[in-house]
Amino acid sequence: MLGDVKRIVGSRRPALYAERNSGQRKGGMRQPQATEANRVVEIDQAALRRVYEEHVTLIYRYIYARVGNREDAEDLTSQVFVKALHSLEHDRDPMSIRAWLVATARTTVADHWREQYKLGVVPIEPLVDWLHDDEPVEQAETATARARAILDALPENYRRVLTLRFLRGYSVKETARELGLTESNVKVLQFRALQKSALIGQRLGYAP
Amino acid sequence: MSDLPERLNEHIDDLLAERRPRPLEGEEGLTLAQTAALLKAGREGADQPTAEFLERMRRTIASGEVPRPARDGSQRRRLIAAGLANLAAGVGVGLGLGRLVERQPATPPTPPTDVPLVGDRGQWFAVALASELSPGSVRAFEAGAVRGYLVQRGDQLMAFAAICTHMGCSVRWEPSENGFFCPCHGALYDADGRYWPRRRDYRYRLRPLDPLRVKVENGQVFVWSVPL
Repeated sequence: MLGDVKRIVGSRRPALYAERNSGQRKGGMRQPQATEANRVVEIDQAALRRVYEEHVTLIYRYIYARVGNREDAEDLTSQVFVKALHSLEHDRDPMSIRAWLVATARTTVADHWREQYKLGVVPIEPLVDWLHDDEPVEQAETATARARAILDALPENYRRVLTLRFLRGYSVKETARELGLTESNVKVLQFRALQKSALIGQRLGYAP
Repeated sequence: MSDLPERLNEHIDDLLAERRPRPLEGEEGLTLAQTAALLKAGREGADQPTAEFLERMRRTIASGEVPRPARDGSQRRRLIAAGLANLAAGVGVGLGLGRLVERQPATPPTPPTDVPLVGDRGQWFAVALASELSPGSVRAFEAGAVRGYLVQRGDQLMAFAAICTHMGCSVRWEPSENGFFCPCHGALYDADGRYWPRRRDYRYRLRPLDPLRVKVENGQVFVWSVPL
């Protein structure tokens, strides 16, 4: 399956979509001006669908692990496939589809942060091992494992507050009751715990 | 600065509700946000795409109407073929549609073009019989290069291009919502073509759907468009 897709990308012929002059459609209806903008983009839907079906879950999870909410993950995932549709054919080197998609997801996420935080430079996460498409998806480090690794490295009180909030989805109120703290205590505690987590994440190579 | 724990707390609540959080501030804010995202994603099963999203994407791809990546304000039009982008600025406002072209008070990442969908270099296309319309009816049409909807409100007849003003996907009439729905990112427009914000679905208000000129002559409804 992946072999088919690779051939599509590797070929000189733009197979994922082909452009043709719209003036030739419908029995050669007259065109006011035949320019670049007059072209119709025609999509080889079967090829794109195959790429989509094979990789959408991986790409979604990759993005979700970095933005942590469904709304952003859906938005950015569709951006990646939109880009794939329009740019994959230009990619002549033998990089696999998956590597291309992951690399695109990575820059899409970086752009997202850049746009949100208006910072000149947002460090892009190193590609690490995502570029090797022969690696089974299952072996890629899961979001759960990454979160677990950070939590395990925290002092007990920090770990407890973050576990309740993030992994169990407790509200501040519920967390306060569980820990016997005031709500503002919880807010300060989770703030410090998260600062510490950021440092640990950096050390583990998770954060850019 | 001192309210950072409070802001962070709201941020976490947003993540838990699966919605896009309001950005925190500065580099420290970014680092905290990224770490919070990482921890939130660790919740068992949270990182699985919903069946609804997968199906929505599948339908978009099957429809062949995937928009150009956002680069400039005209990308949504290029998709619908036939030199719409070349049309000079012109009239392009339908019967009683003036209020629909009011600009939204917004700063979208890609500035909207001010070119009405079809300027003066178009032609009339017969799209329906007036007798087929009744107050409250919504009817799809195809006029040359443009697909759209006729909306009859009382004695006012309006026509909109079925092109989402976000990224150019095709919107479709959704009777249950009494509005136009975009399958790509879930934008909703009301029956007057106005963007209908729900939750916090976009960082900015979308422009209304593009109106098209419409007229009724000898019982025939015409829409001003360009040939395919």
